[in-house]
Amino acid sequence: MEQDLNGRASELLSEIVTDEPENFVAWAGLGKAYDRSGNIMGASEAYRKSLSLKPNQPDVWVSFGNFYFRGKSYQQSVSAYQSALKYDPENAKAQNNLGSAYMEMGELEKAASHFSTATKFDGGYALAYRNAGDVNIRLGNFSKAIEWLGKATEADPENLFGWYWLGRAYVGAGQPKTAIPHFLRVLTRRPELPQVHHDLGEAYFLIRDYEKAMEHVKTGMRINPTGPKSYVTLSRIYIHLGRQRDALAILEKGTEANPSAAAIYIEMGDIHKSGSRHNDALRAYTRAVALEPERWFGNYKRGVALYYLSQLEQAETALNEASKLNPSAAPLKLFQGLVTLAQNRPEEARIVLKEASQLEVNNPDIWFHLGQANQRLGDWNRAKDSFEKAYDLNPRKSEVLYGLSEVNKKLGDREKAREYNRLFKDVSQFEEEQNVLEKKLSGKPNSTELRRDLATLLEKNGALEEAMEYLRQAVYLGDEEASTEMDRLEKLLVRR
Amino acid sequence: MRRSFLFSCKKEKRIWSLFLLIGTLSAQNISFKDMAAEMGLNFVHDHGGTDQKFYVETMGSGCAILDYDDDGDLDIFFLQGAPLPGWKKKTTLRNQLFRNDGDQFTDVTGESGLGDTSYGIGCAAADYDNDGDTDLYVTNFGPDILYRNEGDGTFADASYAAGISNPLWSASAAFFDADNDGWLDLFVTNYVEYSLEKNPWCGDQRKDQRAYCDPDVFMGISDVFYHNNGDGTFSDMSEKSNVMKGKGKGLGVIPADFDNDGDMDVYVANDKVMNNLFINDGTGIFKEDALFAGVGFNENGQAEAGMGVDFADYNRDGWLDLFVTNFSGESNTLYRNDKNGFLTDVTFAAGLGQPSLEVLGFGTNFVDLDLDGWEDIFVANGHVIDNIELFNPDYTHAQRKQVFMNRGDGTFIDKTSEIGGALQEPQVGRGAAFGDIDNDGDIDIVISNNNGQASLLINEGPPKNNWIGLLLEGRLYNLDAIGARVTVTSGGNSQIATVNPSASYLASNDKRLQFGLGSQTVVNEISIQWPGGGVDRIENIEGNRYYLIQPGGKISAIQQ
Repeated sequence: MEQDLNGRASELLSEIVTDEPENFVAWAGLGKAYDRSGNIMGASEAYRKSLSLKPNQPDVWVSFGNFYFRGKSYQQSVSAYQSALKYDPENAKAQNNLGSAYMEMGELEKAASHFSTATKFDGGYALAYRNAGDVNIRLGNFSKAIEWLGKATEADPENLFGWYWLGRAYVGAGQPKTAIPHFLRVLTRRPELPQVHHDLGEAYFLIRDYEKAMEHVKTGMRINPTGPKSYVTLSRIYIHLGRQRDALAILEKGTEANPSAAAIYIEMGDIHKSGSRHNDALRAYTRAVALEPERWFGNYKRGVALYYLSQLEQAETALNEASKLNPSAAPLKLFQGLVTLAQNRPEEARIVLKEASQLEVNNPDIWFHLGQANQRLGDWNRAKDSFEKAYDLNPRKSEVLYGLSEVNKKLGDREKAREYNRLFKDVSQFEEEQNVLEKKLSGKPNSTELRRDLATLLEKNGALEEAMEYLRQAVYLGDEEASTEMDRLEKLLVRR
Repeated sequence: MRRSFLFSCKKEKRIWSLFLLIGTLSAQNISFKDMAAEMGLNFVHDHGGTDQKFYVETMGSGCAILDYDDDGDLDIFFLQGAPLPGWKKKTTLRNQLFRNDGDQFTDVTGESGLGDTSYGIGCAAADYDNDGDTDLYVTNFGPDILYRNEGDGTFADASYAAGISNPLWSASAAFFDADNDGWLDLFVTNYVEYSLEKNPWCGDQRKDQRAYCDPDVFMGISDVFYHNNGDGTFSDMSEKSNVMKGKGKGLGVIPADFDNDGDMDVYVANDKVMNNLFINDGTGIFKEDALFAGVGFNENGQAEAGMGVDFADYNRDGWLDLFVTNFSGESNTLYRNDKNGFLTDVTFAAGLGQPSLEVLGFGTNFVDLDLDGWEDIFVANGHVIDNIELFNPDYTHAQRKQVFMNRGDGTFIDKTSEIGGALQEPQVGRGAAFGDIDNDGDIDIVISNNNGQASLLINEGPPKNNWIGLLLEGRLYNLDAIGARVTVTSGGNSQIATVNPSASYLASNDKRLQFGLGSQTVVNEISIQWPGGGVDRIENIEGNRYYLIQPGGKISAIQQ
C-alpha cells in the first residue's frame, strides 16, 4: 500500500519537475519519495538537484543525510548534516542525527556532544536524550547515562527504549536493584522481548536472586533460542552456584542452537581455563577464532591458554595475531609480556608491559609484571617503583608483597624486606587456605558447609562482600545456618 | 698441613700414562646407555596399586648408591612399594640390594637382611655409628627403619635400639653432623597425613575420570630431626631444634652450608607449600628462614611442588647455589646465592625456565657430566598422574630425562635431544642416584622408575675431560667426612664441593667428590676444610684418578 503511494507520489512529482525543472520543493519531495521506494540513484539525484537549486534548505540536507545514513555511508551523512547546521545551527534534528552518525563511526565523544547540543535547542527532544544516554552507556559513563535517560523517559514516558536503556544504565552503574523495575515496566507492555528478559535476568543474577535470574534468562532463551547471550549468562549463573557441569551443558546446547556463536565458545573456554583444563580451553577458543577470525579476543584467549600450557612459541603467535587486530588492548600486552618473560627476553617484556601500563594504569597485574621485567634486568629501583604502584592499587596481592621484599633486599633495606615478608606471609596463607577450600568446593559443588567455611575465612580477612557471596549461594542451596550468618554479615556491611 | 703429591705413587705410573692420554682428548659428545639389563640390575618397581588411585602410588621410590661391602666399587639399593588394597599379583615386593661384581650386579637382598616388605620410599646412607661401614636409613609409608651395617655384608634393624620411631609417611632423609660433634645426626622429611582407608575421589567428575589427588587435599606434617647421641642411639630433637615449626609437605632434603658459616643448614623441598630453609646456629638448633632468604617460593612468590633438590657452586663464586625440581607447568627453580644470606631465583635468566615447563621433575643432581669444571644439571622426569593424557594431551606420564649443560657464564643449555639415546626414553622417573658406578672417572646415574624397570645410565666411553675423584675419611669421628668442604684449584680456576651423599629425591649418592679439570691434568691445590675445624692443603696432584684423603693432609691414590 505504502509502496503504491510512494510510487504514485514519485510519478506525480516526476511530472511536476518535468514541467517545472526549477521547482526545488518538488525535487526535494521527489528525493524523499524515491528514497522511500528504494530508488537509491533517483533519490540521490533528486536531493542533489533540489539542493543545487536552493542550498539553504536545512531540512532537505537532513533528509539527504538520513538517506546516506540508511545506506551506511556515514561520512557522507555527516557532511549533509553539517551542511544543514551551516544554514540552521540550532537545528536540533541535524545535531541529533549528526551525533548518531558519529556514534556509528565509533566517535563516541563527538556523538555525545551533538546529542547534548540537540537537547539544548529542543528541550523536549526525547530521542536525543535517549541517544545521549545510549552513547554514555557505551562510554561507560553510567551516571551521566542515567541522567540523560531520566530526561528521556520524562520527555516521552511511553517510549519503552528509554526505560530499557535506563535499566541498562543502572546495571552498568552497579545498581541492578534499581534497574529491575525499569525492565519490568518494558516487559509489562512487551513481554515478548528476549533481550529485555535476558537483561532482567542478568540484573537478578547481580543481586543474587538466582531463581528469578534463571527464570528470565531462560525465557529470553525460549523466545530467541539462537541468541548467544542467554546461554552465556545462564552458564555464569550455574558456575556461581558451583554447577559447572550444568554450565558446560547449557553452553553445549547453545552451540547446537547457534553453531556460529563465538561468544559461547569463549565462555566455554573460560570455564575450562578456570578449572585449569587449559587444553579444553584452547580447543574452545580455537573454535571461536575459526568462527570470528577478525576479532582479536579469540586469538588473545588462545594465546593465554597456550601460555598456560607452556607452549610459548604458539602463544606468542596467537597473541601477535590478536595484536594485529587490536594493537592497544592492555590485557593482550600483559600476556605478550608474560610470554616474553617466560622466554627470557626481559628487555622486550619491559617494553610491552610498559605500553600495557600506559593503556591500563590501574591494573596491578601489569605493574607487578613490569616490576618483574625490571627485576630480571637488575634494575632494582625501577622494579621497586613498579611493585609499589601495584601495591598501591592492591595491597593484598601476595606476589607484589614478595616482589617488594625481594627488591628491598637488593637495595639493602633489610627491615623493609622483613616487613613485606610478614605481610606476604599473612596474605599468602589466606590465599592458600582459600585455594584449598575452593578446590574442595569444586569437588563438592553442593556443599553449603564449605561455602560457610569460605565465608568465614573471607570475613576473617576483611573480604566481607565475597564472604556474603558464598553465604548467598549457601542460602540458595537451602542452608538455614547460612541464612542467619548472612543476616549478621549484612548488618556488619551496613555498619561499614 | 701442606703436602705435595705429584708422582709420589710410582707404581701407578703406567696407569697414569693412559689417563694422561685421555686427558689430551678434547671434550666429546656425552652419551648414556641404559645398562641395567645387561649388567643384571633387574629391579622392577611396583607401586602396589590397582585402579583406586591411592595417593602413595604417585610417589615412586628412591635408591642409593653405596659401597656397602667396602670393596671399592659402588653397590645399589632400591626401595620397593608394597601391595595396596586390591593388588593381586603373586610376587613378593621387597627392597633389593645389588652388589657390584665388576661388570655384573648380583642380587644380595636375601643375605643382606635389607629385603623389607614395608612400603619403601626413600633412603639415606652413611656411617652413623662411626664403625667404618655404611649404614642405611629407610623411609617408609609406615614406620621407618634404621639399618646398622654389621660389617660382614649384612644389616640389622637397629631402629628400636637407636630410639628411632617415625611412623608417618616420610620421604627423603639426610645424615649430617648438625652440631659438629663428630656424630651424624639425621633429618627426615615427612610428607602428608594420608591413610589408605581415607582415599578421597579426585579427578574430573564431569567426565567421571578418576585421577590422583593434589597434595592440597592433604595436610602437611612436620619433619623430624634426630640427634645422634654417639652411643648408637638418637634423640628426637624435632621440637627443641625448631624443625617442628616448619610444617610442610616435605619431599626432597639437602644439608648444606648455605651461609658459609661452618655448619650445615638444611633445605627441604615441600610439595606446593613454602619450602623450608633451616639455618643452623652451629649447635643443631635451627631457625626456619626460607622466606627471608628467598628460597621459600619462586620469583612470583608462589609455592611450587618441590620434589628433588641439590646444591653446588654452579657459577664458581665460592657459594653454594640451589636447584629444585618442580611440577609440570612450573619451571624447575635455580636459586643463585647472593653471598649475603639471600638467594635469588634466576631460573629463567639462566635458561632453565622454559625447557622445564612441560615436564615434571624428580631426581636431580648438579653433576659435571663432561668434566669441564662446570656443574651441569641432570633431571629425571615423570608425571604423577598416570592418566594425565586424559586431562591434558600435551603431557605424558612417562617423560624424557633432561641434561642442562653449564655454559660457564651463568646460563645453561638443554642438550637432551643432542645427547639423545637413553635420555630420550620416556620413563616415569623418581629417585635418581649419582655416582661413578664403573669407576672410570665420570658420573653414572641410577634411576628408580615408578612402577617400572629401573635404569642404569652409564656415561659411555672414556671421560670427556680430565678429572680428579676424592674420597674423604674423617679420623675417629664423622668417618664419612660429611660436611667437609673441598676447594680444588687447577689452571687458575677454583671449584668447591661439599661431601654430602644426601641429595636428589629419595636418594643417596656416591659420597666421593668428583671434579672436572677440563684440559688440566694436574691439580695445583686441594684445600680441605674438615667438619668441626682444621684445614689441609695438598699441592700438585696428578689428575684422572681417585684419592683417599684423611685429616692431616694424608693422601693416597686408590687402586681401582
